Amino acid sequence: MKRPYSLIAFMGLGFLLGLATMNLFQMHTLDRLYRVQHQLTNQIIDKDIKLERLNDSIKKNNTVFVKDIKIHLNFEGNLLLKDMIEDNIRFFLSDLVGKELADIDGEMIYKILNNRIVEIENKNINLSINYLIISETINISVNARVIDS
Amino acid sequence: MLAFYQNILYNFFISLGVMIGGCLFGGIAATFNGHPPLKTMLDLCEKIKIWAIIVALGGTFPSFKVLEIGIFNGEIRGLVKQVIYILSALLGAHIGYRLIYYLESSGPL
Repeated sequence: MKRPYSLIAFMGLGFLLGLATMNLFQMHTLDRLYRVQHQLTNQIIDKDIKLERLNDSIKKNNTVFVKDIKIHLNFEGNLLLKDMIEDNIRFFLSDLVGKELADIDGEMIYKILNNRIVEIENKNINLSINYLIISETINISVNARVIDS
Repeated sequence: MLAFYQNILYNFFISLGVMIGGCLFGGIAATFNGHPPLKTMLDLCEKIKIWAIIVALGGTFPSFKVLEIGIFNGEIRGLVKQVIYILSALLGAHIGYRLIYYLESSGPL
């Protein structure tokens, strides 16, 4: 009767010691990540305040600017790869944010992205545009598929 | 006399164990709670240092009783013994504190 209890005690102690050791090895990484998270949160708060002020000043000037880009990506595959493709598309379009709506050339956006082949993690990915709506928020729908290299 | 040395060792290691154990397991709790473990360990270290000494001495009142007898009844031997016990517990707690403190500057293990 005594033996099962001692086994449980050994397992419990081993578990706790394992937890402590694992924590000891990872605590620096965890602390660094929490610090980075804290810094990024502060940056977001700071940028939100700046953006709010900028929006207020734009409203006073009565000019329409592009405020945001929304990418609707159709991709059947790994979600991380999907995020990378989205980042890639955002990189091409990021300059449009802040421009006057009258200056936006829709055809140019179409030509930049349609049938473009991007290379992500040694994979060739073909992009084709479904639709493009140009307003204060640019909405763009893109189909992405991996092509054999 | 042997009991005296044994008590010194007991006090030293109990306070050291309270410090290291408390901080390590507090760090685990911090990880589970989504708080930075190293920072929590260092905060805990400062908080529980004095309690580690008290735990090692087995509560505050017997020690103070001996101190009172030592001072007012001239029982110097008991007084000195008690002071040495307190010092050994203090040393154990301080070494535990330093061990955790230096862990911070060790970088990733």
